[in-house]
Amino acid sequence: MGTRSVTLNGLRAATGDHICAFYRGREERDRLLIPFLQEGVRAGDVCLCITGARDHRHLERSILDGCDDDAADLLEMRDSEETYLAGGTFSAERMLANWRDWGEDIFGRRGKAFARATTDLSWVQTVFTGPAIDDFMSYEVQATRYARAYPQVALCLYDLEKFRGDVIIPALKVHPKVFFAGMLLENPYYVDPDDV
Amino acid sequence: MEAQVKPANVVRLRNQISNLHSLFVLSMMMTESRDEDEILSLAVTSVASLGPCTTDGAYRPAAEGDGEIDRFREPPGRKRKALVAALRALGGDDGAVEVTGAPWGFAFALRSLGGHWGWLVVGAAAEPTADEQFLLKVLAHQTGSALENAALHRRERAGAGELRRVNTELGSVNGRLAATVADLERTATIHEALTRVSASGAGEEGIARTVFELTGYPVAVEDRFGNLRAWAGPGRPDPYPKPDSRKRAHLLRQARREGHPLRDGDRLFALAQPRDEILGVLALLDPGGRTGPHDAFALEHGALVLAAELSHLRGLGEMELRLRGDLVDDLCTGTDDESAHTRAQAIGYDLHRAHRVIVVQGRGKATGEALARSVEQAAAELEVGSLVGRRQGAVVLLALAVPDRWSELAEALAAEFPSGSVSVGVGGRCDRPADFPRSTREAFVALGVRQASRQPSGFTAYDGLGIYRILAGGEHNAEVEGFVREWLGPLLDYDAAHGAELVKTLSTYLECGGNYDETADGLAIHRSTLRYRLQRIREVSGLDLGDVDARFNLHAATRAWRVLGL
Repeated sequence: MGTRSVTLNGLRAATGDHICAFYRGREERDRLLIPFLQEGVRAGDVCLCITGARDHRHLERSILDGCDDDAADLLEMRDSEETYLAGGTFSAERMLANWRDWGEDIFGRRGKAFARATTDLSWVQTVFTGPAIDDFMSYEVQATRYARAYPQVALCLYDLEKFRGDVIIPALKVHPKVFFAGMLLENPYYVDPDDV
Repeated sequence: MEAQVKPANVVRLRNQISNLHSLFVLSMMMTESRDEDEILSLAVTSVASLGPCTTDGAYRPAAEGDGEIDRFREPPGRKRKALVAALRALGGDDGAVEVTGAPWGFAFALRSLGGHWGWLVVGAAAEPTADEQFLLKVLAHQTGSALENAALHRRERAGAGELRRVNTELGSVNGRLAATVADLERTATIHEALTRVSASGAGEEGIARTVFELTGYPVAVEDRFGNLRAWAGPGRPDPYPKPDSRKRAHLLRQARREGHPLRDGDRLFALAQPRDEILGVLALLDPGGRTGPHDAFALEHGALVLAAELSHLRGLGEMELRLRGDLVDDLCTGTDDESAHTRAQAIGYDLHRAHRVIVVQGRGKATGEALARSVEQAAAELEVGSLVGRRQGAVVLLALAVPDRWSELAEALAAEFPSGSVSVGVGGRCDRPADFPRSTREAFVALGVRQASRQPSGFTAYDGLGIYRILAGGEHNAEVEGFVREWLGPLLDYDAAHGAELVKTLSTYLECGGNYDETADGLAIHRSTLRYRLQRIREVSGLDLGDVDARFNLHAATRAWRVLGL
């Protein structure tokens, strides 16, 4: 499995990491996201960025700023509507299948050495409440397994201006690493997919 | 022997540690937030994720500090009186409370080292385990600490804000103070400069120059009619424009009403106005309209100094005029030579030169002050002297004995009063002050002759009077009067008794050489009236006007009557 020097806000991440990053507002998200993906495309990594469609243009321009023309081929901008919410609803099974297909394509067919997958989960706030959040967190547990399966780092972004304790506490429990306030914290007691 | 840990316990412990880890990160988020509402919101919404409990709500002491307890907005719901009373009873402690719809209810105090911030009230279907309650207690403590931290920051921010406000206010006060000091310094400079020029005797030119130096704008000093008296700075117009008199008067009236500098086109001007009379105008030439308050102050203050200067000049002028008038009067009536020379010298006049007394009298507009000013002006232009006074209803000029200037003087006065008639009498030469009374008498005789003549406008010199000089001879007046009485006595008596003009009619008839038409025109009467009057003259006097001797004596008598004013 390939390895990379991957940094998030200057902090070292490891191959197979599934990181939950908390931020406040779009500006802080961009300060976190853009250098992370820019570092990836410059290193030749395939970079997947799933956000609201409105953010695509400015994120793409910022990430590719100063990069070679080839870098554009490495950056994939996706919308949550066409991924997590394809068909109008969220399906953990379908999404995990998508990830598997994507992994096969990138690492198998295209033979890429490393990938960075980032998802802004702001859409969760408008879709899930109550017990449905537990279902989504079950998906996050399985996502940890997927992250470990390939040479990649997965970054889930949660906006503290949108989410409250009912999402934050479960999200903290299911991610092996948490980024918050400039710190990357290990969570040895996360819910391991192998234990589920 | 190692103790065996049951797998179920491992899962429970791992789950408990995972929850504590989550609480630890949540606590960091709360501390980092510094927003009391957000902290409470995080606490309230986290309860359900940490165990089997649901949140009834967070309660906190009311901001007013009157012992009231408010319910936090999340989750939506109503404040319950019984619960509030129970919380008040708990004070800063944890304790069981009744929660609607939940068999088990508990209030976790939100405490910190700095105090008590409220309660987190939760409910559950059954009493939670000790582990679960421990997590909620930790959540409550972390929330209390975060609330204290936020309160400290809020107070710090308020303090910093107050400090900033005070600093800003202080800065503003300092700024205003500095501006006031600068303003005072500037006005003091203006005051000092203008006071200095006022005391220096530099006059109007000096005042204009100082105001120009203070403001940087060209300065004009004008009289009230708009004539330029002084200028300082570049761009002096040549010729200086003369304003329309009506507009000028209106503008000055307006400025007088306003009582401060006024703008008139490209000029800012102020009045030099001691008391009620406008003596002059001080103007700044500012086509760009850029003059500021300090320029206006310099202009206003300059106008005050100018008013004092012009007032002083006017006082001097009036005093000199009075002194000149007194000297003229005394010379005409008679004064000793030494005294006359001394007084003339005091007003800068050389009386040692030869003079003649000129008397001027007019009709219509050519009277009073207007006539006196015109005589003064004409005399100055002809350079024949400057001593002017008043006497017996006439303007008296003590003129230098310069030949051939009297016709020019008379013409100048006639030109000045085209609708009136101005008569000029020129007295004999005066070589010393003692001669002036005689010359005065002679000038009045010449004036009388001129006024009695068929052409009153013009001048008559005593030296050219011929027989009139004999008739007007001072020492023989009694004989002349007797002669007049002898020939004109009955006619004079008739005129006096009947209010008639027989003597005047006879005089005019003889002056016109017996021509009826000219005599009638001269008297402005009809020929038939003239014929009637001449018949009365013959009847009253008993004389034949056709007799040569009688006619000569009557002519001489009427002329003497006119010259002597009998």
